[in-house]
Amino acid sequence: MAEDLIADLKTLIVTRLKMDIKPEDIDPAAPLFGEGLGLDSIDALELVVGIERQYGIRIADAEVGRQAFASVNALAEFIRAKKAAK
Amino acid sequence: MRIDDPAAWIPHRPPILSVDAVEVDEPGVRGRGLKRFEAGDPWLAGHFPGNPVVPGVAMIEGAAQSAAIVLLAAKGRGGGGFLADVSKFRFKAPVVPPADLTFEVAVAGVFGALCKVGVRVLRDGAPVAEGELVLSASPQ
Repeated sequence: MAEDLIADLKTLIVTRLKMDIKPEDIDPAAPLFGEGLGLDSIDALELVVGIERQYGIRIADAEVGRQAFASVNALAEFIRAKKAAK
Repeated sequence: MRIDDPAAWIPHRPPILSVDAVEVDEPGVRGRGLKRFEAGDPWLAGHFPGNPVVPGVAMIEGAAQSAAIVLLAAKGRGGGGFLADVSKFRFKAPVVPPADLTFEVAVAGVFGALCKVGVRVLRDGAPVAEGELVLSASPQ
């Protein structure tokens, strides 16, 4: 289940941001921004929109987003916690 | 609410001020800008001599200004804004003046200072362009 969510998030990142890599090439522990995948703030907004549409979870606060977007693993943990709290 | 003095809300001035009025359905969420392009509009001076067509960039700018006012309406005061991204724009038909355009704008997501906005540009109710913008409340 946890692995499924991580795989789904990798696919969401690659498709939503039109990245020229395979989802399985993303290291789930690597930072999404700066070093690592090298995403920027506009990419973050695109992921926020995608996550809200796919999982019904809103991330409007940039501070929350910084923690959630630390890595794919962190994002999966954030989504699991939000779903559990619903 | 209807805003008939866009210059009171955003810093743009002629010839770049690209919206005449904005109808705000839900402040910070959705609304529409209204703009009449005449053959003598500064946007059209060189686009094209003797054959005026509203440039796509003028429609993007009009939509961005409309969206900025819809967002600022939620704060109840004017301010600045910056265009951070333009994507998925398609222009379906040439717009020959005189033309009354409607810039329909709807917020699709917000993250920090950034806001993603879906845009449809209508002429006489028919879409002539659509796309997505990202506006930023700060220059960085």
